[in-house]
Amino acid sequence: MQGKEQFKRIYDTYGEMLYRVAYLYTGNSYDSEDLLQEVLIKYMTRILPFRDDEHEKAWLLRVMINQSKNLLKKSSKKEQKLSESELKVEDAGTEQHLDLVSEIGKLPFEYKTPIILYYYNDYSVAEIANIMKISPSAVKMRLKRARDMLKIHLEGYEYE
Amino acid sequence: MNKEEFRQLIDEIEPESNLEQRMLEGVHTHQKKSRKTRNTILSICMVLVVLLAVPAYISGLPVPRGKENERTISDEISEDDFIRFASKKEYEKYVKDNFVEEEGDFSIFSGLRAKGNFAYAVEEAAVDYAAEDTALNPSSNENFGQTYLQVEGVDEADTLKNDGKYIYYLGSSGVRIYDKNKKLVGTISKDDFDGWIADLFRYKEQLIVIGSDNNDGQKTKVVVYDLNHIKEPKSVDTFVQSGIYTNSRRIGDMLYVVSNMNIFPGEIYPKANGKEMPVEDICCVPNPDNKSTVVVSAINLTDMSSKKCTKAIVGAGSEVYCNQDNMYLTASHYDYKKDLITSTILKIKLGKEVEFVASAKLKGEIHNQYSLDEKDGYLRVAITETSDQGKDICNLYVLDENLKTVGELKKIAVDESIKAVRYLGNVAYVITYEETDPLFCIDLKNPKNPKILGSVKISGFSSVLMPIGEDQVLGIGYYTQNEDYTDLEVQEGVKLVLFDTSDKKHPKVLDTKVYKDCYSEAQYSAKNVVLYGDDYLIPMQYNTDQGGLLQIGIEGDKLNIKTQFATDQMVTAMKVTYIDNTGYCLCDDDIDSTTFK
Repeated sequence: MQGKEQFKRIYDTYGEMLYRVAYLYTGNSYDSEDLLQEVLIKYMTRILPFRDDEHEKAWLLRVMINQSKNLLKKSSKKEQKLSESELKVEDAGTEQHLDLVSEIGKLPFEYKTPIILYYYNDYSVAEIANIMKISPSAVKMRLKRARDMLKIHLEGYEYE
Repeated sequence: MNKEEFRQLIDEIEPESNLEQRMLEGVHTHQKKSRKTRNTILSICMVLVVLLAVPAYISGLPVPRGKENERTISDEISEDDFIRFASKKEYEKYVKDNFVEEEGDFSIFSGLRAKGNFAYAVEEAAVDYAAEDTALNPSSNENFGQTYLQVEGVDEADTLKNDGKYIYYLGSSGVRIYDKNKKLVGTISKDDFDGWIADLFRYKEQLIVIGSDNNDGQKTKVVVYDLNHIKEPKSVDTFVQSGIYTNSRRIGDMLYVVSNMNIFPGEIYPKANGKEMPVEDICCVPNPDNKSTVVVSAINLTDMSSKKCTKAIVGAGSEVYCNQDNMYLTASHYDYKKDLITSTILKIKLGKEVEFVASAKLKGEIHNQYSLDEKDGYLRVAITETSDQGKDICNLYVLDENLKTVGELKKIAVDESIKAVRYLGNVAYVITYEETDPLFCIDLKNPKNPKILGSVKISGFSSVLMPIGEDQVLGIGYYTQNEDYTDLEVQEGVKLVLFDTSDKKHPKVLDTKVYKDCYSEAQYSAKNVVLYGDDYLIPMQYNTDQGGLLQIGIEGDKLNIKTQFATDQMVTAMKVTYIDNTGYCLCDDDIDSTTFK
């Protein structure tokens, strides 16, 4: 197979992280695997080089977000049920973990993304704005509103 | 919970075993398939169209250009009259019959997903600065920055308002009132709102603050403050309506507030000031795509005690285009069964009361409020449609006063999505982006036959267009170096473009200025552009991680950067404004200023 080494490197570095991001969007392993597959295919067929590792990572996340959005758009009706029921069945983590994943699952798409990028991927507001192509103020606003919507308290940071 | 704890919990998500191996096999299969498919393209192009209809693993493939799979449904989906209800029973039955079995739709998702942006859905705004109504301007020489409006005389809400004496800015702690010398003279705490503050209006002796109240469900709250005691503005009136705040406009004394609420079983009546709305004031668009209900109120600001008119209609709306007579709300919807994105346009007649008059459904998605314009009773709509192959197609429709399509211009561009639109009389300027990124000039003189006059190609794209007289257009937008093959590239700077549109058949680029690795809030919204005489002020974040502003002048066929100001105290500037010859930058709880030459 072409680029086996390249595949291994990218999977080892980002594979599980991307899978978890997909899981936060879809709430089930089936769709998460599909999304990861599509992102990896896009990565492997990309011709242009990346400027640096950061650019590569941001690109992968950006593709994952777009793919998730497309998937959610297409399955908007199914999705409610998926995120409600399957989450509880499939996932066997601690209670606190389950609460967090299901709370995030309930957030609207536009609010999920900044929460994931900010708290899980540790991006700054400016970086999230760049990835999401929205203004930093919009990122701040979404973070704030998402925190207000979540039943779990997430710490805000003074210099977001 | 802090970031570290958050990460640890998320890391508990464990992929199933052998994920890496399965992913590797998937990529391998794709590589084999795509080699095979590419060969097929060479021989029989039609076969590819069929293959692409099953895009499971070949979504990354290049799509052949120029072959459109035409849809069979009509572009304008025929609409009946609004559904109205004679009694509560009838309404409850309608809701039950139509919505209740689809439980999934009764959730916070359905309304929000319609477009996503509520408070900032106002995305953009613009107009002729000279033509603001005078009531807004207590100062005689009017030498201060005002919100850039789309339609003259129709005031738009903003996070910064300026009356020439004070600047009212929505910072992170609430409304901050500054005098000319940057001294904080008064505040309105966001704690007065049990949610967030979204927008401000400044009118007569009042500051109107609109936000949300999250106590007991989502509500939109309008609070009027009397500014006679600037230190501690006193709230003189409050109005609350159901739903998440979407948008608002002020025309003279009348304030129109739009919110979106989701109807749940057991909570199907929107409320105005705590009272359930009577069923006569609720109706439904024909075949609503969305169970979200639009609530619109008309509030007389000079007589707050007078009866407010509130009406509701099922079928969401997020973008607002509004002129002196009519408000148009648009909402897009993805139909899972038809695999089709449609936009509903709702027309509301404005006055002392509000009245829903017509609705229409078009294929595609409306970019923002600037995609709509009404002239001589005709509504012009620029829209991006997505084809079966996922390609973007730009179209323009002309609708009559009943929102029936009378003229159309299809496929202005294929493989491009609309990024900015401005109408100037009978000409539409449309910026598209993806592959060739042109500016189109479109002639709308004959509503039944809109046609492309000319176009000019540019790299990057403008997201905000400002007509300068008849013959020039200033574009504020993105510089992109990386011409990636998808829409995923990271934009890398601010680009200003001056177009010459005097010859509509041959528009041309006169001048450009690029600020690499910088960004400006003006890229996201025309509301962040302030007209200063004949110049334009925009907030900036420079690549030195300093906030500041640019003063852009137009001299003949050149862009002239008259002031490039960077402040030391803020990393970015969210808003700019001016009083006399002092320019102000604001961000969160900071303010800084510079004096113009």
